[in-house]
Amino acid sequence: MFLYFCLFILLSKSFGEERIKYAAVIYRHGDRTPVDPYPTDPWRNESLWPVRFGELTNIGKMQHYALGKWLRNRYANLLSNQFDPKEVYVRSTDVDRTLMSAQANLAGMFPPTGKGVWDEDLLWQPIPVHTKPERDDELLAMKRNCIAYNKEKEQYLHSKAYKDRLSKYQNLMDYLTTYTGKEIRDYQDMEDIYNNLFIENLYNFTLPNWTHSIFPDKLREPSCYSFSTSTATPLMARLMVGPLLKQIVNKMLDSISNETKSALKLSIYSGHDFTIGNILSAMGFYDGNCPPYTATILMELIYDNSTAGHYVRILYRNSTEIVEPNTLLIPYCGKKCPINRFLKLYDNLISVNWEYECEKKFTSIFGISLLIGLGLFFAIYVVHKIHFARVYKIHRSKFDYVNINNKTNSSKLISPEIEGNL
Amino acid sequence: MEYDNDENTWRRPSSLKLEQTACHTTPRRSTTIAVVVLGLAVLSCLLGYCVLSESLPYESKTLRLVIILFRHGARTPVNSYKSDPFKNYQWPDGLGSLTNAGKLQLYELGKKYRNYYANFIPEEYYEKDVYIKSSDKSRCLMSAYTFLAALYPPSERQLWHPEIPWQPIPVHSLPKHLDDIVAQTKPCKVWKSMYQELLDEKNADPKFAELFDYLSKHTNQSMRSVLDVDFLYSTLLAQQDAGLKLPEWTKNVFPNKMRTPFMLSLALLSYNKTLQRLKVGPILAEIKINLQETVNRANSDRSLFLYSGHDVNVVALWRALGYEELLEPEYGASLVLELHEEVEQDSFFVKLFYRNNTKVEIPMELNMPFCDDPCTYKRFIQHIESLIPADWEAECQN
Repeated sequence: MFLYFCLFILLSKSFGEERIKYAAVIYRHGDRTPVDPYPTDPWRNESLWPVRFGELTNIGKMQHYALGKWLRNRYANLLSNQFDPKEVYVRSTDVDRTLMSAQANLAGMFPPTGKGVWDEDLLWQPIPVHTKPERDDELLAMKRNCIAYNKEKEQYLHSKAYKDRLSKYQNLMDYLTTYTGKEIRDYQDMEDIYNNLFIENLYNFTLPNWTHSIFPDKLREPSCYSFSTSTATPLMARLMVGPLLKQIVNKMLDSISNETKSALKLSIYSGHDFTIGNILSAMGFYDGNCPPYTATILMELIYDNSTAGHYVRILYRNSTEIVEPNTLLIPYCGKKCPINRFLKLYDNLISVNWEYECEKKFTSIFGISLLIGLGLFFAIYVVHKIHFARVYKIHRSKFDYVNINNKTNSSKLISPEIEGNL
Repeated sequence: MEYDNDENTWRRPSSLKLEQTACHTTPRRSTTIAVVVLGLAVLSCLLGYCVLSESLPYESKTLRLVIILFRHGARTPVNSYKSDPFKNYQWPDGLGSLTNAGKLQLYELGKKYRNYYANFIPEEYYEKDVYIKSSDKSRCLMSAYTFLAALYPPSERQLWHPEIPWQPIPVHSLPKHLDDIVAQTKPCKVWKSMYQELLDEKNADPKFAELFDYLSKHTNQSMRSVLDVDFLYSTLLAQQDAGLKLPEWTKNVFPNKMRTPFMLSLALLSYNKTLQRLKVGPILAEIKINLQETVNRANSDRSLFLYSGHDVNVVALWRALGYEELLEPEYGASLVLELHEEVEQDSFFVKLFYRNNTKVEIPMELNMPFCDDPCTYKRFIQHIESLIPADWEAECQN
C-alpha cells in the first residue's frame, strides 16, 4: 500500500503537476556524404559514394525517421492524435539534406491514421516544410549578411586572445596544409578536414597514412572549437542566435497569454551542426563536442500546477542513437528555469532587432555621413551666398550707377567707346 | 467504323449457328470463330497501340527539357461569406488546406507524368536531374510532395524504409513576401496600382451589375467586385466538392453566371503586357536561363523543372504565352513546356501542352499565337524576352 502511495506521488510529480505547453525542436540533419573533399583526398571520386556530395543518405533518412518516432512519443500528450497543421510548424534551411531530413522525420512523427490515410498502400502523408534561401535567412541558416556582425567578427579575429589560442595549432595547421593540398588557416578549415575524415572513417574507407598521427585525437579539439567561434562575443551571439531564440521565446509567451486550444504547440527547425553549435555556445551550453548527426535541442515550456508558474527546460540529445536527452543546466537558473528569469538571463539574445541592427546600422552611418555632407554643403553654400551677396551688392551698385547713366545719356556716353572699339 | 462492321458480321452468323447444335461441322466452325476472335484480338491490340502509343509512353528522341507548372489539388474553402450556412463547418485541417482528394489528384497527376515521360524522366530520383520550386502555401508544398511521391517512387536501391514506398525529395520555396517566381506575391508598387485601376474599371462594367446586386442581396455583404465573385465562386466550389448542399439561391448563378467574372478576376492579375512583365517576368527569366543552359549544354543534367503554384499562376503564364481567352484551371491543372532538338537541322523547338485537370490522359498541344508551328527556340526566347524586365525592382518602383 505504501509502495503504491509512493508510486502515485512519483507519478503525479512527474506527470500530474507538470505539463508541456509548447516545445521547440532544433535538429541537425542525418548521415550525409562529404560536402567538399580536400584536393588530395583519395576518396574524392563522387561515384564511390552512395549519393552525391553533401546529400542525405538512406541511413540519414532512417535516423531521422527514428528520431521522428521518438519525438512523437515524447510529445504524445502535447499533440493531437492526427497531424494538425495549426499545431505544428516546420522550418528548414534551404539545403537538400535538411529539407529531406525534415520530411523523413515527419514521416516517422506523423504516419497517417484514420482520416489522415489518403492512399491505402502508402503510409505516409505530405506535411509542409517551409524554407527560405540561405542568403536571406538570418533565423536558421544564419547566413544572411550583416555588416555589424562582420565588423565584430573581424575585430574578434584580430584580438590577441584569439590569435594566441590559434597559434598553439600552427604546427598542426602547417602539417594539414602540406598533406591536404589546401591552405588550412583557422578552426573552420580544420573542422572541414576533420569532418571529411570522420565520414570516410564511418564508411570504412581507409584513411591515408599521414592522418594516423592526428586523426581523430589531435584534430578533434580545435575542429570542434570552431563551433564556438561564430558566437564568440556577446554581440556576435546576439546577431547570430538572437533571431531564433527571440522567435521561440515569443511563441512561448503566446502560449502563456493565449490559452485557446488552437495555439501552436510545436516548432521544428531542421538545420546543421553550425546551427546546433551556435545555439549551444551562444547560450553557454557548449561542451566542446561536435554536434553529431541528428543532434537535437529541445526547448520546452512547462506549466507547473503546484506553483501555477511557467518554466523553461532545455534538453540536448548529443547522439545519433535514440537515447534520452540530457537536461541542461541553465546557468544561474538550473534545470527548470522560471520563464521571467529565463527572459532576463538571455536578454542579450532575445532583445535583438536584427533588421535594424544589421541593415539600419548601415543606413544610419550612411544617413549620418549624408547629414554631415549636407551640412558641409549648406555651410559652404551659405558662406558663398554671403560672399556673393556682398560682391554682388558692390557689383550691382556699380552697375546701377552705369545703368542710371545709360538711361540718362546713354548714346553720348557709350557711342564714343563703341566708335573707339570699332 | 471498320472495327464495328467486323463485330456485327461476326456476331450475326455465330448466334445463328449456335442454334444448330450437335453437328459434326462444329469443330470447323469453332476454329473459324477462334481465328476470327484471335484476329480481332490482334486487331484491337494494334488499334489500341496506335491510339495509345501517342501518349504512353511518350516516345521522343528529340526531347531535351521539360518544365511543368501545376496548380495544387482540391482544397477546403479559403474564406466564408456573411450568410454562409457552413460558416462554422469544421473543415478537416482548417481553411485553405489540401484535402485527401487533393492529395490523390496530385498523386494521380504524378503517375500520369511518370508514364507519359517514362522514356525521358529517369526512373530513379537523382537530385541533379530535377529541381522543384513551390509556393510557400502549405497546400502547394504538400501537392508538390505527393506529385513527387508518384513521380519518383523509390527504386529497390533507394528504399530506405521496408514498409514505406516513399522517399523524401527536397522542395524549395520562398516566403510569400520574397516570392517573385512561383506564387508571384512579392510586392510591386506599379503592378499594384495598375491592377487596382483595371479592377475598378472592370467592376464598373454594367454587364456585371445585375449579378453583383443579386449576390450582394443573398450573401448579405457587399459583392461589387469580380474579386469578390472570385472568392465566392471558389468557396462555393469547395463546399460543393465536399458534398455540402449549397443554398437554393446559388442555383441561379453558380457556376454558370459567376464563371465569367471569376475567370476575369484570375486573368486581371496578368491582363496586359505591363502587368505580365511585372507578374510573370521573373519566372520567365528563370525559364529562359533553363532553356539557354540546355541549348548551350551548360547544364545538360538538369532536364526537369517543376513549379507548384496556384490557379492565378497557371493563368498568368498562359496569358504571358499569348493567350487571350479566359481560363479556369481546375485542381492540378498543368502547363508543360518542352524543349526539342532537331539534331539534323541543328535547331531547337519549343512545344507547349496543357491539361486542365488531373484526369486528362493526353495533354492538349497548344499553338502559341506569336509563333509558327513548330515554334523555334529563337522565336520563343524573343517573345519571352519582351516580357522580362531588366531590373524588376526598378520597374516596380519599389
